[in-house]
Amino acid sequence: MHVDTKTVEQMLERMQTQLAPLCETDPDVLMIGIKTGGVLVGQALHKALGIQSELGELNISFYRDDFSTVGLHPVVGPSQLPNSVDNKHIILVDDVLSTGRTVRAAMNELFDYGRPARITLAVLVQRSGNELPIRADVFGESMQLDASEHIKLHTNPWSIEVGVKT
Amino acid sequence: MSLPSPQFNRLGTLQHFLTLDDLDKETLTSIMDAAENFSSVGDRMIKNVPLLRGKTVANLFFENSTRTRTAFELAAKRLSADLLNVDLVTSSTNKGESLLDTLRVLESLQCDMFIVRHGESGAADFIARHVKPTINVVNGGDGQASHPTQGMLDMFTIRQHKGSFENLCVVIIGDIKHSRVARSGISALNTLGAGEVRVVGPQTLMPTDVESMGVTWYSNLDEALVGADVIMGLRLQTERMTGITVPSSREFYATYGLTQQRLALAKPDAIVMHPGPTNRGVEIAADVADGPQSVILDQVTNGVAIRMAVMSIIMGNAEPLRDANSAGEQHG
Amino acid sequence: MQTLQVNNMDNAQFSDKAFETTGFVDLYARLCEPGLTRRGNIQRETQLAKQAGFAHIVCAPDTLPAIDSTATVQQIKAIPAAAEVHPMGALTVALQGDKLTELNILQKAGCPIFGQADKPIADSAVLLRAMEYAKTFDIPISLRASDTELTKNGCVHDGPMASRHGLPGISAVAETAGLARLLELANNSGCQLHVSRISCARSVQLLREAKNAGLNISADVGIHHLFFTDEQLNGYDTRFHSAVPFRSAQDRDALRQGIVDGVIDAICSDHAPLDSDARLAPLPATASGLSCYPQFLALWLALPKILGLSIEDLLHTVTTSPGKILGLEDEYLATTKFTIDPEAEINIEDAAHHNPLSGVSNLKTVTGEDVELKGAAYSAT
Repeated sequence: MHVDTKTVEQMLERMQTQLAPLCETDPDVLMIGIKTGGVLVGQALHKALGIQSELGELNISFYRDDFSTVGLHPVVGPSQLPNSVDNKHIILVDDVLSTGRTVRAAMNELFDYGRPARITLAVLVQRSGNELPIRADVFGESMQLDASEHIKLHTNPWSIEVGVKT
Repeated sequence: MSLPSPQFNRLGTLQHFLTLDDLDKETLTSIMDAAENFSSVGDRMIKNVPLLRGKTVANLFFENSTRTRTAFELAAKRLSADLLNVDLVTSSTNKGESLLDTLRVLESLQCDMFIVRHGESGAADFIARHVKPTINVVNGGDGQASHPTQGMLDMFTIRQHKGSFENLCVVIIGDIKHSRVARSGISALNTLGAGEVRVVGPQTLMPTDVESMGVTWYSNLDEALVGADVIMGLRLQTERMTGITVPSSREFYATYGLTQQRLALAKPDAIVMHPGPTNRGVEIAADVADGPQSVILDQVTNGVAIRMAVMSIIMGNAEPLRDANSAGEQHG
Repeated sequence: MQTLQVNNMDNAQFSDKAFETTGFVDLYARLCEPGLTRRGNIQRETQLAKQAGFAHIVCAPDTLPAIDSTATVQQIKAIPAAAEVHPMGALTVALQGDKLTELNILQKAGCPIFGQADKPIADSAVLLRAMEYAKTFDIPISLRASDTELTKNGCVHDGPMASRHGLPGISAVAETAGLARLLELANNSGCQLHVSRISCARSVQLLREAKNAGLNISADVGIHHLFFTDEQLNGYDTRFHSAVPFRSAQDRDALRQGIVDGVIDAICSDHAPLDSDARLAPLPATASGLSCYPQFLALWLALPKILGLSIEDLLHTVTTSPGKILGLEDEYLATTKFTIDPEAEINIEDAAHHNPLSGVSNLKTVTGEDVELKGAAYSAT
């Protein structure tokens, strides 16, 4: 299965529509993308929503729960958070929400930077396969997929590829 | 024909961190890349990450060392590991207990990683060959052989300031013969493709056939400094100096001391490094050690990030873990 | 205790290359008795020696206690052995290098030659007196050339391997400076000097010059030194930790040439078995020494091809030459006979003594040189 540029852009628009009111009520909102897919989605939304503060980037390698089985993950660059997260409303962005483990790791890491006032989870695709009680507040699309199917996000142009990993 | 390196496990990944000699450029670079990520951890409000939570790291120091031990301790703690400091300098090893017996005791205490500092060359290699396969060994300096984490933090510091190693002229001054820091540094610089590595000192401080190590030997410091991008001082072991290898520390300073005047012979943007602790007025002038070209304190800071990187990389490669499920679960 | 079967002539099938020889003479081996039986013992070592074709073995004086009293000589001679054991007397009391032992008394008790094992006499005055005293009674002495201070703290050849591994080295000059001193003092005293276990090219050169000048000297080399170099210690391979260090390939080649030229008279085993935990430490802290008898004959049989000589050309290095140094008459040597079959297949099983050739059938896997290890000796007596 292949989701084309146009469809991905519609998904992003859908997210933007849902996030816009949040940004209006709290102009101090902080958007943070999870490396690396979440940063790409975050960049698009950050620009479209005209958020004042810089986009934050979170590298969750040091917080993953699979270290003991797969070891240290390839290095994707350090986390960069623009300002303090204390008492901030954070929009946490990722490309795909599946098991929920990435988001768990990301939230653990965020709390090592401070105590946010609120975290809103925004993902492009919320797929089946949840393993933790974590659901997106905002999503572009919801998909029912087999456990064997994986989603890959491409940019320039935007597209999503769904297929069985070989 | 020679013994296979005990550093790698069956899968060819790093199980122990003993020497830089048989690590390729890619491995050295990936360690520095990982360290770059870990270095930001120290800037945060909460300065630790949960990577090695529940793991027990034992600092086995058979030789006195404050700096290296502290850096490893801090690195282990920032990775949320439990740390055991075993003072072996004054303990049972002095009562005739063999090194192997000491190791067996600590293995039985279910440690996951040994950080070893030992006075004999090849001690880390020996320990790695004889520990249980579940244990990771990091060489914290063995005899005159290797000090691989120091070598890596030096490379990391050079990369931070110079970007790449190509065309770099690196000058190492002093006691190369007895220095594990110099050996690890020279090995890594050659692997990373440094343009030229010069070693400077009298023949009494040079290993036999020093040029076989991939360096050029200079007996004159002024000549060696011309065109230098990186200048590394080494600690002169004053106890080894007593009239045998160098007549006096005053004579050494007069001949090989790094002064402002001499530093001016190097490139204007040259950096000055030293593994510490510095003997001011022996190897280096105080105003050079504290001057704008000195990156000595950066080395100290980088030492923690490098050790966090090394410890997490090899702990993540621990045999039984990789065995169970090498593919791992998709982390969505 | 392990008992070894000495090869029996009766039901052996020999190849057409088999030949008969008088029993071999070993100028230097450690038989570990008295005092070091954790490592080996006279019965076991002499049986191994006999399997390698040896009928006479000089036992090094660094036993516990050292061979410096009649009681120790008698103790050694009383132990049943598969080959004739010739105890090398300690030249100085407890090998300490300061007081001479009773050379005449010890000689009568059975010491044909005197030496210091690996403990050179540092004091040149003592050494000169020892040589003069020995000369008075025409007692031969066998010394290793080694400068005490230059050897101190070292554990391997001081070359690129040591530099790479950060291992404290013993430079070739530690041997050659010691040798130059020995030669000068021998020249001055006129004693019959045998130089034990040389290891480097420059030593061969010094000996050649001294012999050409007419000095009354002889020399031997340990057989491993004709095959191994310091590269074998790469990766801290403690099994190759030898008291007389393995040096460069150039040195090894010069030693080989020394055999061809006759500058080196004899080849010894330098057999030194070790206990099972002797290597369980970082290399500089391990005991030195290599077990040799299990592979001696195979290595020796490989030499003719390497040196471009015949077996007959080389036989003197393990028979008449060392015999002469010990003062053993050829007629006496002829009383023991062996049949040696160079084609016999062998298995070297000696891992317990950290023997680096245990389980090895060709040196290719060890040194890179294509040397097949085979050949066995069969005793006729």
